[in-house]
Amino acid sequence: MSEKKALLELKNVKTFFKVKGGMLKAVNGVDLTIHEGETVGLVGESGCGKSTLGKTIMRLYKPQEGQVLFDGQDIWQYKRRDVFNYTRQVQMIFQDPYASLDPLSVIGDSAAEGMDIHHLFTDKKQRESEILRLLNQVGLNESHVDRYPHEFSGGQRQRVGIARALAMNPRLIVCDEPISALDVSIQAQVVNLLKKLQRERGMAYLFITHDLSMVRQISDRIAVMYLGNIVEIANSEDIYLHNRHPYTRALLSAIPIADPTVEKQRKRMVLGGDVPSPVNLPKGCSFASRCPYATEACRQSAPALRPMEDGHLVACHRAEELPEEAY
Amino acid sequence: MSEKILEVKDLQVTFDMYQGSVQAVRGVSWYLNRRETIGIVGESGCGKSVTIKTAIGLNPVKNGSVKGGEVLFEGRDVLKLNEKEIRSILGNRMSMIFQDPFTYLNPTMTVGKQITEVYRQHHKVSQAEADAKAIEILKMISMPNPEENMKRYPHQLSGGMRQRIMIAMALICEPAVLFADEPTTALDVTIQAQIVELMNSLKEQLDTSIVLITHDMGVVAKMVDRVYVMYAGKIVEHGDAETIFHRARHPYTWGLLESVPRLDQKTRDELHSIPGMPPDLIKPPKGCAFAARCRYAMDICTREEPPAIDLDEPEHYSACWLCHKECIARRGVVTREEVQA
Repeated sequence: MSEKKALLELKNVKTFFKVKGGMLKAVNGVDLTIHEGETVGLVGESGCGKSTLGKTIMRLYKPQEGQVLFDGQDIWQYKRRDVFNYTRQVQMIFQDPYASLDPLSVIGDSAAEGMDIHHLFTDKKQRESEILRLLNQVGLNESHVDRYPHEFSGGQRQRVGIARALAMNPRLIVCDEPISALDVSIQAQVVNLLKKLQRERGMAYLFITHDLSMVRQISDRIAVMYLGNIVEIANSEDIYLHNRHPYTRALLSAIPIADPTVEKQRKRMVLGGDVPSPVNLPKGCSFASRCPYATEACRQSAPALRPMEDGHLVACHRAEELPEEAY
Repeated sequence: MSEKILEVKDLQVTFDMYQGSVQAVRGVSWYLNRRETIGIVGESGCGKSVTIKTAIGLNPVKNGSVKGGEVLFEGRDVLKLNEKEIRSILGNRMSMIFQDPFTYLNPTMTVGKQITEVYRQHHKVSQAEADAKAIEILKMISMPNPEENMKRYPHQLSGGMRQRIMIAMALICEPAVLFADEPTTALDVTIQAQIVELMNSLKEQLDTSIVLITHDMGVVAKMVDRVYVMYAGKIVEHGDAETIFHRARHPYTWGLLESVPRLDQKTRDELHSIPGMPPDLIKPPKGCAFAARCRYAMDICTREEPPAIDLDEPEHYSACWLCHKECIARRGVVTREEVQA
């Protein structure tokens, strides 16, 4: 992976929100690199800051500290013109295909809105044919152009959302839970489509999700996030087979396997308690209160993300001592 | 032999709409034994929620949407009860947990009040006695600091805690049947695991039977004794969990099982997906409703509706022409392994 060029780099990014009682530390010092043409999965429970991180990358939130570098340049140092350029190259696909399309626009116009803003075509005819080409690419056709969102199913709407992002010919697409609102059989269709488009066009994805079984199918690398921090990041298969952080292990063990025979034999690591509040983060490791392996040292000092073998990074004091086992 | 506690027979529900009538449930039969968990699985719009909402009398018969069938519970047909009789059952002998705990809780009432309200509706007790009962239930479902949390409002609790409150409301009267409509879909996986363990343990403690509605085959594998697979308003396959997961015979069941990537299996280049979409139930197709999406569809599938065909194992049936003895004689038994290959 190292020979690939870094497309987007996050350096110690901290995005906080002012709330009653202090600062909500949604993203609390994240380092992450996304290379050209790569898919990085970002997983974690709700409230861990994964969507905030996605929106920070989209330049929708300004981080309190740290840098977001695109092609080596800080996106908050951009001139107006560069910002315009950046918003073309980085696109987003949203979770809820029902809420993210304008109910009063036909989907042809919705898909072309970005192109209109960025003047990516010269005449009406070209616009039309471009819309058609996009819709074809995502498995829709001519007859769909003049229809309204309510005439479509969830899966089809998500395809429109994907077409809209593709229209900009982006280099990075931030997919924020693109499949969690869809039915299982449709989820597979959309994941297959995203994979196909990446093979054809070579853009990078940041795939934000809480579904650990689906993210494995699409990601090259996976980052696991807990309370605003990345606690483990590794090649996709390593996360499943050689994970080193107790939280990753707990997440994996919580996912039921669709087979009653296997389920009965599985050892399970059920986490007690709820996630601590991101306003009053505990001193030390933020996972310590729920971690079965936590020691006094964990409660005293927060572990930094440190390298293991093969570009595998983990933030745990006791990573080496954990017994080797897969999910 | 275990006793049947609830039985739905040939239930038919349609909803009249501007465009025509939607035949949401088209002749569904199932039963539930005492201390058993059954799962009704299928995609959204297949009629699984309508089925159970009708079964607990939430879908009033008098507006004409229930076109036929019976729901037998404790020797009575729920569909023939009047409103007062239904109210005496609901929340008391039968209760329900909904998908989204935030929508179903009253934001202006403390959760303690909401839990005890159900209990006081069905039992003549003082608020103090009801409070004591609520605390007992909350302790049983391992809610931390029940006394404190009873005084809170829904927005002060996390998603997992809210779902526990819903479960406490459903269980406080110790119902015979608990309906759970996608109880874990809105929750994170770690919280889902807690709730699933909890529901499994409650079955023993309270002598309750559970009807679980979900599209998550993983949760089904973890909780359920028998499975009903629903598609387009009908049950297309039924069997015990073991049979459905290992020896399913309906192509739709295979599709459902295949489209879920499994943690214990390696990445595949292409995920298996079921092409197309479920049919429009205003005009259900002639023949098998799944035929248009089925790779095994034969001539007869589009012409004639397949009956439920009994298979070798007890209580295993599949509504698919592939299981018909004539078809088996001609092309042999088609199995799920073929799909995987």
